Amino acid sequence: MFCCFHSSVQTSKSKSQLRNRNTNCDSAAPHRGDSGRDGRSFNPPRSRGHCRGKGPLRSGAILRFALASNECEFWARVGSPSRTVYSISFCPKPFRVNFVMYALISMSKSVSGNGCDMESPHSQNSPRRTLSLSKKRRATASCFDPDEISSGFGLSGDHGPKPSEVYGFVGSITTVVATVIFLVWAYVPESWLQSVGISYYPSRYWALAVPTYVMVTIVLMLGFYIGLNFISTPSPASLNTVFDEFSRDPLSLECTLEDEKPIEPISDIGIDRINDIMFKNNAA
Amino acid sequence: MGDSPPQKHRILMVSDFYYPNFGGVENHAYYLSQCLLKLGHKVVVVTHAYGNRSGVRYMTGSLKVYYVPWRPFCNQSTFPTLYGILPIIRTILIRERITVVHGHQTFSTLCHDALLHARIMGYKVVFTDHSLHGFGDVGSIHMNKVMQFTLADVSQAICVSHTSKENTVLRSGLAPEKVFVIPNAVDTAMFKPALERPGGLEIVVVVISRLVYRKGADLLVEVIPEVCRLHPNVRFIIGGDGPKRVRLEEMREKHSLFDRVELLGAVPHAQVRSVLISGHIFLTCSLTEAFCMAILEAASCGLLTVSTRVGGVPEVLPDDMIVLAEPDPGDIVQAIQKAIYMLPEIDPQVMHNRMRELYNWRDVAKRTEIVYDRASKCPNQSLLESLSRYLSCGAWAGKLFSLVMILGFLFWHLLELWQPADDIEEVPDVIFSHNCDEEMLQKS
Repeated sequence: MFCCFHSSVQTSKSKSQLRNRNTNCDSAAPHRGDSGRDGRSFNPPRSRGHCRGKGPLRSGAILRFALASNECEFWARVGSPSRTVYSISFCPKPFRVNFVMYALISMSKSVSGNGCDMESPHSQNSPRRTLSLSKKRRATASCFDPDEISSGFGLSGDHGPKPSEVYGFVGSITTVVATVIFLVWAYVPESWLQSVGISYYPSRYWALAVPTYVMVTIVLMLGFYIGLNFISTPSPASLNTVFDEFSRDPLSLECTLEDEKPIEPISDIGIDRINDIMFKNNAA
Repeated sequence: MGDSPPQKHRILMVSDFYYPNFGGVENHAYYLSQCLLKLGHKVVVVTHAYGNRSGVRYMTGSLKVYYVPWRPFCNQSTFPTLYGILPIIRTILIRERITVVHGHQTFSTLCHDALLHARIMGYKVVFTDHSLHGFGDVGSIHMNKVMQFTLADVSQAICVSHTSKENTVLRSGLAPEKVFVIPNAVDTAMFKPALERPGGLEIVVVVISRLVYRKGADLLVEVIPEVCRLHPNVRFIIGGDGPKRVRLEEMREKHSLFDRVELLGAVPHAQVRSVLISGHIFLTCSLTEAFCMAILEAASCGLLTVSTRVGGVPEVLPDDMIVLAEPDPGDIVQAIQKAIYMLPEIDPQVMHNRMRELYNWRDVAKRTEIVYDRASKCPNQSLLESLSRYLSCGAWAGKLFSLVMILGFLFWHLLELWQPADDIEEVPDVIFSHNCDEEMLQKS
C-alpha cells in the first residue's frame, strides 16, 4: 500500500514540476531582478539567509508555490472590482499583474500577522507594547479593506521596514525564483547550460536524491508512528482497559427536589454493571 | 411529541480533546453528549488514549468512549497519517451503526481524519469549530488549507458565534447556508450565586483563565497596578496557571501588592464556582475568543463581567451584564471603573435567572438535533460529485486533495474485501432506564 502511494505521489509531482517549468520560464528574469533589488534595499543578509533555507527542498518549494497560487485565487474570489481596476491600471502587462498579486498577498499576510510578531520583542517595554497592540487591533479589523491594503503598500515605503512584511514579500518571491532555478538545474540538458555559460553547478545526483530522501523519510515516519501505536496498545487481558488512574466512581444520587437537576459530573460506570445491563436484559 | 416521531440519531463524536483533558472543547463535547443522550439519541465518542486510559469505557449516562491507542504528537493532537486511522474508524462506525459523525475543533488531527474517511464511506458529517484563527501566520495558513480540504464535502457545520461563523466561512470556503450558529452553554445548576454576596466595602475582581499570551496575561500585568492605585478598596483574585504567571508574580513584587493580589494557581473545574462567588466582578483580557465560556459561568454566578471586545465576545451577553473595552490597558482600566460604579444595581439572583433562560445545554442539544436532521436530509453524493468540489480547492492543492480521496476510496474497498462489513459484529445497546436508578439505590 505504501509503495503504491509513494509512486503515485511521485508521478503527480513530476507532472506538476513540468507544468511549473513551462509556466515560469517567461517570468523568471524579471522576478530575479526584482528580488535582487529588494534584497539590497531591505536588510539583505538576514532576509536572504532566512529564505535560502527553504528554497532547495523541492517539496517545500512546491508546497509554498501551491499556497501562493491558492492565495491568488482566494484574493480573486474575495476581492472587489475596485481591486481589479487597481491592478490593471498599475501594471498593463500580464506578468506584472501576477507580481502585484504576490505583493498584495504578502501585504495581507504581513498586516494581519504584524501585531503578533512585534509583540514578543517589545514585551518588556510598556508604551511600545500598547502601541503594537493597538496596531494589531487596527490591522486585524481592517484586514480586507482595499484602501488599507493600498495605503499599507505606500506606508511600507514611507515608514521604516516592518520585518514580517519584508519577510513575507521576499519569501514569496524567493520561493518562485528558487523553484524555477531548481527545475532548470534538474531538467535542462547540460549542453544548453554550457552554451548559456553556466559551467559549474551542484551535481544533478542531488536533484534526484534529496526529494527521494525526503519522501522515504516521510513514509518511514508514518510506518514508525503506526508501529509505535501498535506497541502501545494494551493487551486484551490488561487491567488498563477497564481501570486507570483517571477513573471516577459515580457520585451517590442526591434526591433533592430542585426544579432543575444539574448535568451529572463525568464518571465511569463499572464493567460489571455494563455487563449486567447488556446481557441480563437480553436473557430476560 | 408532534405528529411524526423525531428521528433518533446515532452520533459519533470525534476529537483529540476529551476527558481526562480539560478545556472548553472537552466540556462542550461532554455536556452536549449528555443532553443528546437524554433526548433519546445514542452517542459514542472517539478520542486517542491518554496515558494508561486506553480501550473502551462507559461513562455517565451510558456514554461510550473509545480511547483509541494512538499516541498524541503535539499539544494532545495525534500525528496526521491520512489513512492510518481508517480501519479503526470503519470498524467503530459499523459496530455502533452510526448515522452521523460529528467532529470537534480545527486543531484535532483525529477529527479531520475521521471526517475525511466518514465522507469516503458515505456517512453524514457535521463539524463544530470552537476557535478563531488568523490568516497571516504560517500555522494558520496551513491549517486553513487543511480545513478547506476536510470541510469541502461536509454536510453541515456549527460555529459557536456569528464572528466564528464569519471566520470559518472565510477560512474554509464553506457555503454560509451550511453553517449554523449554536453558542456554548453553561450548566446553570452548577454555577449558582451565593446566598449572600460578599459584603463590606471591599470589591473583589476575579480572573480565571490560563496565563498565556492569547488570554491577555500581559494586559493584566498593566491593568492591575493601575486599578489598585485608583481604587484602594479593590482586590484581585487570579486563578489559573501558565507561562505568564512569573510576570504576574514580578508585578506583585514591583508594586508591593501582596495583600491585594492573590494568585491561586490552577483551579480545578469543580472549584471554579467557589472562586467565582467570592468576587463581585469577573475580568477577562483575551486577545482572541470565538466564544468565552468563562463569561457565561461568571454571569451565572451573578458576577458583572468586564471583557475585551474581541472575536465573539460582544455577542455573548446583553449590554447591562457586561462592560466591553478595547484590548488596551487604559481602556480596560476605565471599563473596570465603570463596572465598579454599576455594581450597586446588580442583583446576582436576577442575573442567574436570566442566564438560565439564555444559555442552557438542553437548548443547545435541541438545536444540534435540528442540525443532525438537516444533515440527514442532505442527498447522498457519489465520489465523482465530491471530487469536483475537491478540485475547486485550488490549482495544485485541488488535485492533491482529489488524489488523496481516490486513494482513500480504494483503501476502503480493500478493507471491504479483507474484512466485509457483514462479518463485523454489532454491539448490543446499553439501555439505561429508571430501573438502573432503582438498582443503584438498592445497592447504596
